[in-house]
Amino acid sequence: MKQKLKHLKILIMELYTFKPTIFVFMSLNVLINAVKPLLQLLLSAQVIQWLLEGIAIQEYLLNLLGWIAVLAVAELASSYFEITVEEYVNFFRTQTMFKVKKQYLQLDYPLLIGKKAQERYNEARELSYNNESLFGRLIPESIEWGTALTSVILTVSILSQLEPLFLLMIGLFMLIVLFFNRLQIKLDHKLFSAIANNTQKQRYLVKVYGESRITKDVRIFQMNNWFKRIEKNTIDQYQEILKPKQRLSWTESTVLNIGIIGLSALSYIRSVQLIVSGEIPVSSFVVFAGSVTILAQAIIQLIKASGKMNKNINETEKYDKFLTQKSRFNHGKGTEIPSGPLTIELKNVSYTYPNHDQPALKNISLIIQPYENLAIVGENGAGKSTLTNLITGLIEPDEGEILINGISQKDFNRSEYYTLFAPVFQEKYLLTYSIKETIIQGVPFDAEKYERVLKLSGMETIISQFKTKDETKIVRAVDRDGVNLSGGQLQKLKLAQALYKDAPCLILDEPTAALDPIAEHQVYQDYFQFSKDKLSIFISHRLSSTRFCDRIIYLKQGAITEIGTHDELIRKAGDYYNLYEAQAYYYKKDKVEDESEAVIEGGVI
Amino acid sequence: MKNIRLYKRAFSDLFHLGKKYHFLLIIQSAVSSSTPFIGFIYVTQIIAALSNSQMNRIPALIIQYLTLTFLLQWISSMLQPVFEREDAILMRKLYAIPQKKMLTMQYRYAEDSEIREKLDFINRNNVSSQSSLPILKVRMKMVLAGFFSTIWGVILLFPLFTVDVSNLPDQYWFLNPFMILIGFAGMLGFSIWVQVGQSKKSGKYLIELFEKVARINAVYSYEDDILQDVQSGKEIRLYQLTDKMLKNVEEDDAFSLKIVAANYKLFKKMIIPTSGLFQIMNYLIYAYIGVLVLLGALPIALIIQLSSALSQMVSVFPGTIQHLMMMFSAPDTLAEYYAFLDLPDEKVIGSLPVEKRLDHQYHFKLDQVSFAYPGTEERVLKNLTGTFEVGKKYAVVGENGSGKTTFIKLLTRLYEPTSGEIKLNKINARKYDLREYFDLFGVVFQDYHLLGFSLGQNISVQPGYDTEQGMHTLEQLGLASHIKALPKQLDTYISTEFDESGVNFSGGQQQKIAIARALYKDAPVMVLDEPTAALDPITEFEIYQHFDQLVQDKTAFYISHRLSSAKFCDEILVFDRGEIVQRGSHKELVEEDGKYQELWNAQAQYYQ
Repeated sequence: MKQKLKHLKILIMELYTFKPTIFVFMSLNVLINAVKPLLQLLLSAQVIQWLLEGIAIQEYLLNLLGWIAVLAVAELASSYFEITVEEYVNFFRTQTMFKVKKQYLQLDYPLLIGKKAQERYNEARELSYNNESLFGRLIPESIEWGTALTSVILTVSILSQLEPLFLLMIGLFMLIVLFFNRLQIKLDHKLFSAIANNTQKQRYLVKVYGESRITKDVRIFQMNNWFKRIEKNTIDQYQEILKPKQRLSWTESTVLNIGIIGLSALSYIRSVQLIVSGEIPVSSFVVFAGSVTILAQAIIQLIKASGKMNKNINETEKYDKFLTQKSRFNHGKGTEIPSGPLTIELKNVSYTYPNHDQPALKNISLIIQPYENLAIVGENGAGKSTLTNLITGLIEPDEGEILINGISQKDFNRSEYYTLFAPVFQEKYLLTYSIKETIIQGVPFDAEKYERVLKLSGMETIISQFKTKDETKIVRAVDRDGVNLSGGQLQKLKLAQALYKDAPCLILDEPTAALDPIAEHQVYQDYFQFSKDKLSIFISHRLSSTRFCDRIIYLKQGAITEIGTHDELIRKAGDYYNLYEAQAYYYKKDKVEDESEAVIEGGVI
Repeated sequence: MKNIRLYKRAFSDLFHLGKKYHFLLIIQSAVSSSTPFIGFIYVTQIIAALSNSQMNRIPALIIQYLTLTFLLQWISSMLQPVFEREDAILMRKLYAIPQKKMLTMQYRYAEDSEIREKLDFINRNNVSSQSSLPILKVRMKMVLAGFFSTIWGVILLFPLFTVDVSNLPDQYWFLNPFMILIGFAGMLGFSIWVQVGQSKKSGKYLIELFEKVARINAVYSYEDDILQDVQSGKEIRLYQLTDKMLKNVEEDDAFSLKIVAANYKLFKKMIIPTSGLFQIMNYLIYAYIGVLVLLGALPIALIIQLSSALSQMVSVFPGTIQHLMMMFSAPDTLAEYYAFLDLPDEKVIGSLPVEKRLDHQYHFKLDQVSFAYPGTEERVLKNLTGTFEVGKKYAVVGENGSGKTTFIKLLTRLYEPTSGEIKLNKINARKYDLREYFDLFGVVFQDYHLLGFSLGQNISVQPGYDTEQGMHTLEQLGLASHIKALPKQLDTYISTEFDESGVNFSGGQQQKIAIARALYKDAPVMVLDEPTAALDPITEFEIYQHFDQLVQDKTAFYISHRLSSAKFCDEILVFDRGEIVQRGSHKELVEEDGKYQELWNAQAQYYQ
């Protein structure tokens, strides 16, 4: 209950920040919606009354005008409200959506990773996703609830004049509606995951049909029959899931319809009796007969709307949970960022990903010297990327600490700390849309530096091929006139981006997986050229490149098992050696025949 | 005329896709739109009986009324859940249609990025355009309700025409029902005219707005998609993109809200002409019938029936017209939809069955084959000529963009050559039945993609699979022990996208499953396009070492950036700018000045 109050308060506050006058607006809307149908009934009754009395034509037309004028005002107001609510819904949803997005962009990275964190974000995001989600429904559903409640109160007060027994019957009817509503909710709850699963299956299937990566396979492997069968199964399953829901709906509507007929019967019989006995005029029959229909609908509405409001309040928890996450890192004033060469020290660092049993890194100790070129090698999943994520401060060690020039990582303001590193990640995301924007990113623009980077990175020759030079758009999903950069070009662009950041530490994660030999060779050359006056960390599968690094560490199941120069590790004949041999096998065998040709020792290209 | 054909097709498609739905829809709308009119009739009768003091009629009337109402409402509510279910199923079908088309259209279209953009566009139209099938379906429901209400209205208004106007005083000459009806028709016409004008205006305005916001929307959904991938958060934080992106979102929001507001302003302006006019008509209905009653031309009780029927009609009519107008407001989107659906399917050009040969004797011969992608001038393959022997292993090497993958697409007939011909056993490949021709190939493409269905199905590419054969294939690839350790073995779902119980496989394992798919097919020709890119060196080495065992006596084409592959293949095809510039064994080519040597040295130097 306390939780519910808290969430209700959050919803009210959200509405208040949206527009303090929204509450006045909603109340007026409720009033108009509830009164309008009754006005219509009263008008009909009044007209019959006048006609029965044989009123003068002039007077009839004039009186009628008065009534219709009132009705017209109500009608116009209600249309106005209806449109304005729709408009407000869009505005309101944008407000909450923005808050969620803002939080997501600002949260510390550890709060984003893992299945739980991802679910938290998705759940919060979906609350404002469209007009059927929480923040789209909140205003209309509140009005719906208020209208139903007001209608019930108004019609009950009319009908209870007719017969006090009504109150009892209405109470009973309400209980029945409530009972079925409970059953519905329970059943919905039970079926929820089955329906969601089925919908997910269907959605995935439809996504698969349009999946661009299977266009070739669909044809050559003739996958169509396979898909047809799965789709048929999914629809059959859907029908099966819905069966209990249908049965409940049938029972419910039978019982409720009997109830409504009972209420109507009582109202008709009593009003006819009273008319016969002359206690009320004939015209009242219209009012009583109409009221009972309105009442029955309003009761059903009210119970349904109450259920919805309850759900809305419960759903608010997801919103609250996401927005109230506390930051993990130091975002206040920190130690000044070192300006000279860096020494990075890892002391007994361990790290386990959320919801994983096995640590990704165990007890790593390592000192990286100023201007050192370090290579990290190991099999898939050995913890290579995790290590660089720890160093760049995206995630933090569970145990041990990381020191920069002897100062703990934690002592720096995290945003300032990020300026020390210029990584090129394995996954190449484009969040900026022109070449120029991509190189600059969020770093302040400096024309001279920019020109230099274009030259250095070789981007100059790439942009000279395009008509619009560095303003060329590179995301086709956004700009139809954009270009698709090739793997090699994209790699160069990302390297230029890292160079422009001009940070003391350069990090390259698996840069050449999709490149042809000549482009790969080019990347290595560029890389070693750029990393001369920087500390650099290089992750690679291709051991061809690592031999030029000052030092290589070999990671195996989250621990450093070998460390040394290429030649040292080859001599050691351990894991690194095996990996290297596996790759060199086909290249080497060739040379066995003319071994007399001296092996050139670790020259720098 | 063209539009009429389009809409006819659309309605016929809708009807055929949801026969049960439409059957239920008609009954449902007939029943539920009748309920209020039954009410008008009986309340009129009861009031008549009451005012004429015919009390003995009343119980029977009440019983009849309640029974009828109960029956109608009960039927309607019994149909409702079935109707909703059919509705949901029809909706699913409608959304899947354009996506499904991607599976059957000719490959050249499926691969075209413009066609993909069209698909996105059509999918978006399916939820937003007034003339898309799903929205036509919704509007049909409204129009049908309006149709039944109008019929009831006409029936209930009938007593109006039986009014004897000859007895009316002269100054009330205008009370002639025909005059009044003409007046009403005029006003309704005016109201509809205003609405149509406005909706045209707002439709045009909306289209202009959509053009303005198209890019903003594209950015919005693109960024939303990327943000879904947590890894993008690394880039955002390290390159200080947070503020920039927030500013983007803020600007997008402000701009789209401005547009929303402008649009609603237009709607608000519509209230007075539509709702206001409706109120004037409401007044006239009551005034007219009231005066007739007061003049004694009509019985009092009829005022309920007549005024309710008239006002129900007057209120439903403009809405129905509006819905009809909306349905026909965007024939262009419907035209685009059908243009997309009418893209030619993978047609069976050839009809010749491919001879089933157990000895795998399938010879391929290329004769002056050139190829330019449809709609482009530039030839990406030039004058390829050569024969390929049965059972030989070919390595295909070259720089990115040199035409290696395009060559495979031509060989497998995903594309037909622009000029020249490919011959299978001395007969032009085009002459063979395409499906049977496809059966000749087991392919692992570079951008292979496993689907979220069961592992066994992913290997067999069919609803069913042979457990023994599947396991055997996995064993060859060294994956069997891992799969056997899983509780559901080959029934395990891949990833959790389709089934929550699914298991995630590493990149290397996925690649092996993709290879298993090609092996399971046991086709005479194997094509492997960069099959080891995601494997670590040790696993890659294992695959290389067992390559002969894997492909056995099949003909194989092996595309790779790792030139090591060239060593274990019988012959190397070196591609450069769309041509085969060198052919021969590694030994021959490495000695020869040329592209191969250049490629080899670029890589091999690091290992020496």
